[in-house]
Amino acid sequence: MTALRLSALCLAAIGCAAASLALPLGLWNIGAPAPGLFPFVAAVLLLITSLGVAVCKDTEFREDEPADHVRLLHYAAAIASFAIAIKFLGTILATVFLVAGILRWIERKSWSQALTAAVGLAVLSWWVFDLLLGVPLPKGVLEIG
Amino acid sequence: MMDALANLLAGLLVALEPANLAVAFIGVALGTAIGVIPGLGPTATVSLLLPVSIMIEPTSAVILLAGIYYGSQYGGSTASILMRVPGEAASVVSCLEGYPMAQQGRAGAALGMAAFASFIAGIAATLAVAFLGPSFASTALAFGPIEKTALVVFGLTLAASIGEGPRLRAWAMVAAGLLLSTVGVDLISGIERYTFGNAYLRDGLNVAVLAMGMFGVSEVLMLAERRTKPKSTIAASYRLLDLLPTREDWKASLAPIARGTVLGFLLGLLPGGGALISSFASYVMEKRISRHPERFGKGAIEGLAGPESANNAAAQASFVPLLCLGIPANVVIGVIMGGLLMHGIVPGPRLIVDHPDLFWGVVASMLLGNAMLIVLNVPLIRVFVMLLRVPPWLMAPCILLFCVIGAFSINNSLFDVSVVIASGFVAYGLRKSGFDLAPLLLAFLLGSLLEENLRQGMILGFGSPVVFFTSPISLAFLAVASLTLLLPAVRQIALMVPGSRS
Repeated sequence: MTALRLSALCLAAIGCAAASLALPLGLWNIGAPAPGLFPFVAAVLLLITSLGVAVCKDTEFREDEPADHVRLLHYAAAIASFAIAIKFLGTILATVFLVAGILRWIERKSWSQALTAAVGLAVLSWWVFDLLLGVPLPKGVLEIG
Repeated sequence: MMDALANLLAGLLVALEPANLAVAFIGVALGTAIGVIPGLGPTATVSLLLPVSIMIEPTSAVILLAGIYYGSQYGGSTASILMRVPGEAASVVSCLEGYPMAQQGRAGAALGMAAFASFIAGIAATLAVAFLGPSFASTALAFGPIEKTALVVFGLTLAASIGEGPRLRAWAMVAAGLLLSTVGVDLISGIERYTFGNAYLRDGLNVAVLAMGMFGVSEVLMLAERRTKPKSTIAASYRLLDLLPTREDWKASLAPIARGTVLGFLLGLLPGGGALISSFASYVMEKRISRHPERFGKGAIEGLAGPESANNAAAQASFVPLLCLGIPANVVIGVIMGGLLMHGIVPGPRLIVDHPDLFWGVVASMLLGNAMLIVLNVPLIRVFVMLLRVPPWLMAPCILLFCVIGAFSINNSLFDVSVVIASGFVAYGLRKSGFDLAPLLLAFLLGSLLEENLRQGMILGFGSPVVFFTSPISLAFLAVASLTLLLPAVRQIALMVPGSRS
């Protein structure tokens, strides 16, 4: 099964589930659309079009070059870890760990390059968003008081 | 005409007062900065500065807030072109042609054309506001829920034809966008839909967060999976003159700029989604009338120039319904209206009579503000292009940080961080399968508008859909939407008829 067919079937499943969740909200109420009508129509449209994509013969999609799946998985793990780490460690520390980790272990840069870039980006993002724009970035373990 | 000219000159005297010049400069500089940095956006910035605006004269206050709004339209395309990270909805279209141009080492030409197209449209639209605005203002009144529904349906058919790949895939993405737009509390009944008990989902998903995830984070993953080194994005020379658009670029862009300006101005007058639709309506129009539509999506400068001029013209035009009728055309204009009300000034048909200095001062300040923006933005092109010298191994973490912190900054919510990353992963999967994400995002933007107006229209029609065929404006939009839908099919059938190719 191609990636396109698999994605189309996933979308069709989402459409099917969304339509069944929309039904209990009601489709029509006292001569006017109820809250479930619009989501139901959108879900059915998704279901029909996705199934159409899945069964169409001329929908094959070819990639330009083969993907490096190991590198991709490493990046995906780093990104997912960053989303969790930012809550507990705060933006600065999570940024340092993310950038240093990516550059050292995925991009194979030297420790000095990785740490310089990591600290530089962490300080820059803190300066722009927290100090200049007044966004209260999560401080995590660095929170004082 | 002569009256308008005399009034505009009087307005120029107001706008040239040192205090007004200063606030105009602060407004446009701040607008450019928040446009460049993904996240915060003009609505939040204008809201944050509302308390400051109360402390200054009403004219200066509107000049400041308006400057932030149209200044952000200039800056908004920068991150889209350089990193494929649209900071706000209007910049999504800039990714489609601007980013491929940057990938080909032509970021300077893209940024330059975006700035010049914005400037030309900004000046032309401001003059149109001065000379035609008051007489065009009544257009906004002709648009009730029925007409707006038809307009948004037309917008959806455009959304389906904006992306690459087969139409059916684009419609699947449109359906997905519409479905995502229904997440949250239904505004009419107060019932929660698809929130699964999560309080963060009650307000629905944020378009900027989705845009950053779908375009920015997915691009990081696309960069990550490459075995080969990415193509060089480094320009041949970093002299400003060499970076700016060439004569050929101008030749290809002048007509799209003119068309984009007219389209943006007319759609900008319409409350509720007009300005939003303008940039991708211009993109679709340019793609349709191009002799080489196959170049679109691969760095066609006319696909950047048209939408950039359209969104700037729309930004200027959206002041017309506010100043002449007291109707806010979009959320930012609504916040600016709040600023006027806090000064005790009620925007509406009497404003131009009771406060001519304010009306004409604000209009004239837009001319000066646009001039300031071009002076401010063109020298910055060199600086922005130099940013592409950042090595590819560092670019991916930079884009990721921009997206994550930008998403957090919108609502100061860690939930948005999860959404930006999750949408990035999903978008990566869809892109790898051959789905284009632009239709999804545009349908998401239009979905809530469509539902709100459709339901109001149905209530007006006592539950009968026939009501949408009773208004001439609605009928016209639905007819154009049907044509947009059917034309490719008709063209395909015509090609299949023997002898039609000769």
